[in-house]
Amino acid sequence: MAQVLLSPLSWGLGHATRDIPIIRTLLDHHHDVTIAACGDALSVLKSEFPECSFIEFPDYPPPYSTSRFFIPKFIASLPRMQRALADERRNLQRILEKNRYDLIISDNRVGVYSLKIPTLFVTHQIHYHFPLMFWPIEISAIYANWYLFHNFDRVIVPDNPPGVTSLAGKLSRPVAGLTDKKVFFCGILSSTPKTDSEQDLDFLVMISGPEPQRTRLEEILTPMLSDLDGSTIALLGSPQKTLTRSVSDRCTIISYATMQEKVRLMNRAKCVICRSGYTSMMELAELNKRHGLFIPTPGQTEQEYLSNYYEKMGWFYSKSQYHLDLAHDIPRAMTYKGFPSMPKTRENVERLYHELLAQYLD
Amino acid sequence: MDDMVAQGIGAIILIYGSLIVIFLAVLSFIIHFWRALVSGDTGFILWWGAIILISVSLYAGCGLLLRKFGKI
Repeated sequence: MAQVLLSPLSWGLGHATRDIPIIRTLLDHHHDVTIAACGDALSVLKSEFPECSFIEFPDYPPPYSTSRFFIPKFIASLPRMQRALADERRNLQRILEKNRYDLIISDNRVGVYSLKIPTLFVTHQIHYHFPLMFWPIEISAIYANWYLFHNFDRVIVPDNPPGVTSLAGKLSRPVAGLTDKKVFFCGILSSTPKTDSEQDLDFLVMISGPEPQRTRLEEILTPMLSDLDGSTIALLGSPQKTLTRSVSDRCTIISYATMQEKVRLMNRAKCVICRSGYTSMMELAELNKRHGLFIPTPGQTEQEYLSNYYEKMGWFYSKSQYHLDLAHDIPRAMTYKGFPSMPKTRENVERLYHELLAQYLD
Repeated sequence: MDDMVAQGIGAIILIYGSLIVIFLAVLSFIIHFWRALVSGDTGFILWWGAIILISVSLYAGCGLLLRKFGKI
């Protein structure tokens, strides 16, 4: 029985939820897992795995912007992030002095690694996407990532290998001779299991993601919900409120749903309207959803890239929140074919354990 | 100081330093260009105008080619 320290980034819940299958597999194989996280990510994992040990471990301030201009805000926040990184390194040192671990798994926390203990890094972004005018930054970022990876023994990519079923497209495509040496493609990882429930909900609208853009999308989408022709449930992703109200006899707004409720609703939905965050995409792929409309978070280049990529592949339709018109966009979204079939989480996580994790644990 | 922290500080100095140098270069060029416009120095305007045009075209062309061939 080995001791594993797992630390997800807490910018939204995506990192924490995609680690759930990994944690579950480690527990199933009788290993002890300590989760070091903060904020909502820590709360979700605490409620999911009461048998694990937990450490409050702050990470970096999210550089999200109220406007479309992510890059200037990100550059301006670098000193603050640097200070957070220094704190993270110091705190990790303290954690490692107090306890003995056989393996560290860091989900997108670049400072969580040890030169003495095997460390695995989880990310779906080996290659960052920038607007075309910033192409030298995009190329520099490939080399920066390659340099960053030298702190980690292996890099786990929750995506299928490059090819026609790759869910992250170029984001997860390694560069030959550089970032490809350490990469392990484990396939999609989702904590949303497919159930046999009947698909009796026409539309599920999930308004999620970091503030203040979450509230902005809520303001844009709420007045349009009555345009949807069918039964509709909108999840606002606001844990602070406990509100359920009916907009019409066919449309209900719920301010917050637990993970179990969300899984139930996603399974029931015929069409999902949501942000194009990568974790949501893995959930839709896991559930074999065929219809959806994606609304990328403005300024988040990753979501903007995924939206364009899926549209180009003919999988899903996307629309900017500034030009959204559900009455016109939904019929168009229905003409797309959805993600191709691919191996699911259960199979992927078992392969990940036996082909990679086990060699550090047994 | 931890290696990574030192590298992070180095990276920030490099990024901010480059931005300051780029800003000063652009500012200085705008001032020179404006002076040339006011004084009617057409030689300067044509020479530097052509250099800017060629540089921007090469920059955009490289970006487009890299994207077309899937490098970025």
